[in-house]
Amino acid sequence: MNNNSDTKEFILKQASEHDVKFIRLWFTDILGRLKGFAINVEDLEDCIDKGVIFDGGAIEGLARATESDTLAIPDLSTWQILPWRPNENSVARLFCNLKSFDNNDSILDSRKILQDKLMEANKSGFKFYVGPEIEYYFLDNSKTIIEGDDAGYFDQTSADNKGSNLRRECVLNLEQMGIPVRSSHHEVSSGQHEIGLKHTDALTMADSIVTTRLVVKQTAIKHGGFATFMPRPFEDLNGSGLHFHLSLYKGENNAFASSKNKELSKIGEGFLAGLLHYSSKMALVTNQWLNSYKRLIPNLEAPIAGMGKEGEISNIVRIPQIYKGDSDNSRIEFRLPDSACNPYLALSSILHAGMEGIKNNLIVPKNWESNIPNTLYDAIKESQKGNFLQDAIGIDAYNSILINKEKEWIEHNLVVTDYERDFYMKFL
Amino acid sequence: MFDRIFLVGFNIRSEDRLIKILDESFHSSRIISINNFKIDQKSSNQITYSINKEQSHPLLSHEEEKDSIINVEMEDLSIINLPYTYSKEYSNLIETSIIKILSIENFTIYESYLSNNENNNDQIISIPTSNNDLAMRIQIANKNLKLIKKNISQSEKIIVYKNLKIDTEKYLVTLENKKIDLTFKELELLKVLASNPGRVFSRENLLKNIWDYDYYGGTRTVDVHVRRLRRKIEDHKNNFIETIWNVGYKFNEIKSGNINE
Repeated sequence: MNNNSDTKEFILKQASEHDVKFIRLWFTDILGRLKGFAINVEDLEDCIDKGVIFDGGAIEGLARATESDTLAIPDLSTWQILPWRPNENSVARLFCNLKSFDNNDSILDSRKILQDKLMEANKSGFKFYVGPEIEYYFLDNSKTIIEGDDAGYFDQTSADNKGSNLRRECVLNLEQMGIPVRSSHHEVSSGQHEIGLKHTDALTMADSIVTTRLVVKQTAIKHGGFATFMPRPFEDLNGSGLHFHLSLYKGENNAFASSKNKELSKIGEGFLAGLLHYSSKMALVTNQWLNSYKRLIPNLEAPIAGMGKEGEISNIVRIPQIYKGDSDNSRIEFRLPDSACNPYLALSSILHAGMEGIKNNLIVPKNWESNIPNTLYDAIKESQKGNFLQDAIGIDAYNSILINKEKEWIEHNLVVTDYERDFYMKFL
Repeated sequence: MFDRIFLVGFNIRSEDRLIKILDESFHSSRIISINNFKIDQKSSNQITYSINKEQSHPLLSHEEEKDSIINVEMEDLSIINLPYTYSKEYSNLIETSIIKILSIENFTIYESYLSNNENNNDQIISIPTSNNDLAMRIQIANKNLKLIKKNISQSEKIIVYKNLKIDTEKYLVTLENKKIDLTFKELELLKVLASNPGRVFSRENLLKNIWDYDYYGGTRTVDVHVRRLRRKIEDHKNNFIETIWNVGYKFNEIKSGNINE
């Protein structure tokens, strides 16, 4: 394609202009962890033309060990020079799609799963737009809360607050990488921060979330600290959620915007009903770790209640208030996912739930009863009822996650914890 | 071929005939008949028009009816019937339409038109026209369109506005002599807008020109990229790109006096 050769020329020129030495080829495993390898700038043109073959056998859920030769094909629209590297011998990144070298179907590529889901919605004329709020903790290098951070929600602390300076540097890095930040602030708990990204199409957003997690971690490490997106890192502090602001566009119009004096259009209500209906089944993807369920314990802002009471912070969904006449901003906030999810698969599941809701004319229940799983084990069991996740992310990805999660549950059951010794030895 | 064909200022009988010919040979283009029109002074390619519904031909496109404002895009062809009294509105319309065919019923009108427009390469047809003549003129107009498009991408290698410099060949953008890092799509967007200052581009048009088609983001992708682009090149002193409500975007017409400045 002509357009593609222009893009290629642009990339090659920019690489030499900015003295790029290495190009990191990025992708994620089935659990959403960023993986990648670097190629030399001399091999960039070859990589753009043909892709690069690597051994993907050891990467979680990527391929069966017997067919590990994987082809990474760069998505040229994701070309970006990394701002935290030096100006000389600088480093750029390209997100990649993955294919098996000899068999197209056997590779589990989360990015491709989301692309396919978006194409499916595209057939009904819908484009899926997402704006996330990502919560995380800045810690010191011994992985404990930075001393002196007693700040709370929205606190504008003094300039010597290490965490806020780190957050500022992250935001600048993200902006430089073309990831516009909508807002950022100190969260409720000591050491906890939030970065909100400006809404964009779901694929770009999943790439941006994966990039943001890296930027935050890199920035913390650079300054001798540590950052974590663990769903519930401390029992006495709030968990870290990944709240998604969701909207569908049809042409240039927001399909959630109601022409009447209502919060949502019929399409919006269908999407919302689908989200509520399938939330317990998608939990295995949106809340995929054992630790995820320690964030979902009632209290501490856990988003597991229905939408009974207006403005309740524990609501699983929220319809953000918009200015009158600003219907373009109509959206649904979905608060179940946590910051450690695989954003590609989480967004695939969310879109699938919403589209099912629209297609089947599901109604938003007046009194929605929360049935969000309490443990990873419950989430596994819940996902096995019906075919929701299989349809949302594909049978192969689902099976791969299922095997991984059953293993995680069994392995954790083999461990006897300090908590058990402390508690039981008092009387047993 | 052309997206839309505007028929401007024809009487019912000539219009009827033109529509029949157009419908046979150029079925993929939408045909829109314009009777009364005004040119918007703020954006050079926006025209307000009214349709006479009683006269509306069954083959005409009715899509635009509820909206009486249209943007004349580069991919549109205007077939304009020159009236006996040559008005300011008409000369504005002729100026606005990049690709056009003028229809002339009377030679004296043509002479007065020529005396007002030197260096003119427009296509001329006379009414009543023959099928072949009109078809041939449209083919030539199409060739001209391709030529104009090619010229835009070739001739303006360096575009300078105020303190913004765009070197389209080296993919280099500087603002106040500082290098600005743009992505490929941001650069393409800036190039298209800045090559046509004052001209309003619809999202649809920008999407088609720059992305071909975007499966994941649709026309909204244009907004996202314009937003990112503006964040990189604009501040309180510099305002290059303007949002035209309900339509799209345009590049402001504040051109520096000297290109070598």
